[in-house]
Amino acid sequence: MRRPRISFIIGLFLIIGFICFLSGALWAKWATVEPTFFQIKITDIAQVIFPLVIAILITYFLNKLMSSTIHQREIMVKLLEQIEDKIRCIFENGNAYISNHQTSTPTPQKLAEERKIRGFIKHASSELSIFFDVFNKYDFVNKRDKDLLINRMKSNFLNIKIALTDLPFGVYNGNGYTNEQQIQFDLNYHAILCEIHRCKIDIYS
Amino acid sequence: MVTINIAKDFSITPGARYKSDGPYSGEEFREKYLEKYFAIDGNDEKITIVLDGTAGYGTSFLEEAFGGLARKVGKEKCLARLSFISLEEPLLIEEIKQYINETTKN
Repeated sequence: MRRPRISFIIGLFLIIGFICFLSGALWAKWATVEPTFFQIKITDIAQVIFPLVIAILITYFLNKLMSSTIHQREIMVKLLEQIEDKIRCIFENGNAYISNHQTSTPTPQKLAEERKIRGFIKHASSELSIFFDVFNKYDFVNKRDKDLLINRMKSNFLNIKIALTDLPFGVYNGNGYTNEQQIQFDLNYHAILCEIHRCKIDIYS
Repeated sequence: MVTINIAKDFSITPGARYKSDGPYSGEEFREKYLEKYFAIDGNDEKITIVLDGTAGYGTSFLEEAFGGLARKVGKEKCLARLSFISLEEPLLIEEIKQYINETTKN
């Protein structure tokens, strides 16, 4: 929001400067002005000032529009960064949970870790929904690409959730995670990270 | 119309898939709260499930509760009668519908 203010101030200074120049010239009895200056009609002055004012206004509004678009994009990317943080927390806590609890006994530590993971998943899911809502409102990306991107992110998020919170998550007896589940968890984490980065690039392109 | 609020009526910490896995499992929820509404033929009462207020759901709970119900009564019946409310986590609704759609009746 700083740019329009600066352009407004510059414009204001130019106008004040112009007025000061004219009043100075008037006060000095047009000493610096050619005698032919007095023959200038008001329409001639308007012909100069009118396009100047139009140009200043157009610059001002374009600037305002651009900075608001940039601001919107920045908000979207910040939202994505928050989601990325949550996904990273899911991955780190999920990895710790997988390696700590290959035997399933309901220890207080295990229960606390499960609660933590559920919390991160819930927050990430909620933030993703907000992101999709906001993302759909703006036309940074065309509709087809937008739908593709949203579907890919949803599916990647669901995959990482399934890889971690399907059995044996929260199970108080039986075996731990299989190697295949651990590999899937790892792959899905990297897939969703890639998707988030791709989305950031799309938003800024 | 029936409304089932999982956090209030069942548990704020839904568990895993089967009853043998621990407390508040998806199987327990399905048997106690869902199946009774599908037991009578011709009953087409709408059932609204409120998903908000819990500590979060694991895939196994959701798949067993709703996917499991679809396996028993058919996915068309499930989709026609069940509706979901999730203000905290709107993506959950799509997730559950995906589990229901992926099932084939036993």
